Amino acid sequence: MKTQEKLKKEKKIKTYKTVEEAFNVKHEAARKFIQSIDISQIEVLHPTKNP
Amino acid sequence: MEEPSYKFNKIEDKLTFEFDSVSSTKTIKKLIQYNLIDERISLYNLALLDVLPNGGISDLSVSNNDDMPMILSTVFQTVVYFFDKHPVARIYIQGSTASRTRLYQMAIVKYLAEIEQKFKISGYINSGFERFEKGRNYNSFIVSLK
Repeated sequence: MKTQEKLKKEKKIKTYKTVEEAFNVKHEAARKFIQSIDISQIEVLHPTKNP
Repeated sequence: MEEPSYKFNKIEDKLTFEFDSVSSTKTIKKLIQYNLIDERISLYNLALLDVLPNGGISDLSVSNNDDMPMILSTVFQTVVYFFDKHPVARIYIQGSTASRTRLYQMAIVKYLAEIEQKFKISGYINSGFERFEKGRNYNSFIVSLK
């Protein structure tokens, strides 16, 4: 029983085959979120500086 | 941050870093990558991954290495390194789970006075970003140099 519970728990942890795939998923999720909001609020809080 | 940190290595020319989380029972490779997600505002996403003992890659594993402060301190060191190379950029940070985001928030609160000497930090809550304040539960964060 314990083994089954452990297996179920391990199944819940999504793993990726490659580092590139995993990073792409995370970056794409962040990109979609930022595209969905008004970025002017970010510019106000974090104004652009001259390099 | 006064917490000790792991030595990290930069991988190739990309904005990727690696370090080992070490305990008496195991060593887990951690990877951090910064990726440009919005050119208009030079916003980079910070992502953290684990390389599991079976070779799989995960952002949800719980390593139980009892070194979270050291891991977060190491992530912070890469942030400092990143801004040294990209001083006008902004970094977007969100944990892979709500509890992990909460961990990040607790670390920010703990070192807020020190962080705010060099950085501007905001949090996303109630459909908008606002200046980071203690006692608020944010969904994500943005950091930039002052």
